[in-house]
Amino acid sequence: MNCETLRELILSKLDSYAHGSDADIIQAHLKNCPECQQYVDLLKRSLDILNHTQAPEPSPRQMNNMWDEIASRLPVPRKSSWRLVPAYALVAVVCFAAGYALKSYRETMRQPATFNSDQDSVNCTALFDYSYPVNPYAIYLPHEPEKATLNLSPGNGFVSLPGGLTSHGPYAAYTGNIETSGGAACIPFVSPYGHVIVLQIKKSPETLESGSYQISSDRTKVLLNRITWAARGWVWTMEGRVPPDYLLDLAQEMTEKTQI
Amino acid sequence: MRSDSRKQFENIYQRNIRRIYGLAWKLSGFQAGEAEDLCQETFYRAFRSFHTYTDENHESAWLTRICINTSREMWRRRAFYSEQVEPQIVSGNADGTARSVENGMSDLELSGKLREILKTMDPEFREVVVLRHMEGYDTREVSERMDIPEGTVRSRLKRAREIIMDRLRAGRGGSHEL
Repeated sequence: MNCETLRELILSKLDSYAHGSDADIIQAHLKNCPECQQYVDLLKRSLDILNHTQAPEPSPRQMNNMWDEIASRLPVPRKSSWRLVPAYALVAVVCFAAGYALKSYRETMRQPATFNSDQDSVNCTALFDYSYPVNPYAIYLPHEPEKATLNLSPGNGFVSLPGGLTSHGPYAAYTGNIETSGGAACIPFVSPYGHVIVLQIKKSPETLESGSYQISSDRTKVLLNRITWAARGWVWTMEGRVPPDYLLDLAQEMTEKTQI
Repeated sequence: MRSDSRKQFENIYQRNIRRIYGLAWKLSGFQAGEAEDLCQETFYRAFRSFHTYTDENHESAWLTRICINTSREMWRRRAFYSEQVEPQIVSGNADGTARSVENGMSDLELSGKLREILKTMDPEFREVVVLRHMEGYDTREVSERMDIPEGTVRSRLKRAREIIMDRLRAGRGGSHEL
C-alpha cells in the first residue's frame, strides 16, 4: 500500500474503529514510514487542538445586549387574554340570552295556533264591551281556516264557532272568505300567538246578511301590515288582553275609512 | 404575541445563549462580531418558528439546526468574502520559501493556522468539522443536526480533513509523495 492510499484509509477510518486487517496494515505501514507517521501525528495534533478550542463566553452585558436586540425585533407582547375572561363571559351570556329570547320569540310566532275552545271563549268574552260607541268586537280564532269557519248570524248578536262555541257580539267573524259588503268592515290579523283576530266594526247589524263574505285582498294587506306591527307590542301580554284603547282608536279609524 | 410565549422563549435564550454563541463563533470563522450577528439571527428565527417547537427534549438540537442553517445563509450572502480572501494557511518565510508546519510550530501557531483554514473553508465542510471535532457530536448526531444522511457526513468529514492536511502541508511544496 502506498502512502496516499494509506492516508485515504486513515482519513476515512477516523470516524470508526479501524479493526482487523485495516488496523494491521496501518500499523505496519506507520512503523516503516516516518513521513506517514508525521502526517498522522499532525492530523491527530490538529484535531486535538480543534477539540480543545474554547469558544469565548459572552459577557452578561453582551448577552443582555443581544437579547435587547432580539427583543426589539419581536412583536410587542399583548396583555394576557385571561384578564378579559369575565368580559368575554359576560358578552357570551348576554349573547346567549338574547339569542335564546329571539329563538323563543320566533318559535312562538311560528307555533301553529291550536284551537283551545276554553281559552278562546274566555278571550272573546273579555274583549266584548258593549260600552264602546262603535263596538269593536274581537274574536280569537286559530290561524287554520279549516278550523275557523264561522257562520254569520245577522241581527242576533251571536256567532257560531266550530266545536259548539258561541261568541258574543252582533257580528264577529272570520273565514277564509269574508266580504264586507252589507255594511260591515272586518279586520282580521294574525296575533303574535298565531291566532287570527277579527275586528268587526258594524254600523248597522241588521244590514249584514248571512253568507260568505270577503275582504278585498289589497285592503286586507294594508290593514294586516298596520295591525301586525302594532300587535308586536303585545307579544308578552297577549292572552286576550288587547288594549281596549287601541281597539277603540283602531275601530274608530277603520269605521271612518270604511264607511259604506 | 402572547407575553407568556415571550417569557418562555427568554428562558430558552438564557439556557442556550452561551452554547449557541460558542457554536456561532466557530461557524462564523472565530469572529466575535459575526458570532453576535449569527446568534441574534438564530434566536430571532427560532422565535419565529417557536409555534412549531414542541419537543423540549430536543431544544438544543433545534437551536443548533437553526444556527447552522442561518450560518449557511449568512455565508452565502457574504460569498464575495471568501472570494476576496485568499487562503493564507501557511505563511511563507521572508525569502519567499514556505516552511513546513510540522516542524517547529507551536500549538498556538497551529491553532491560528487551523482557524484560518476553517475560516476560508467551504461552509459545508466547516460545519461538519465544527460539529464533529469542536462540538464533539458523533456522526449520527451531526447528521441529525444538519439534516443530511450520515454517509454524507462521513464523506464530508473525510474531505474536510484532507483539505486541512493539504493546506497545512502546502508549505512543503505540494503534496508529499512517499
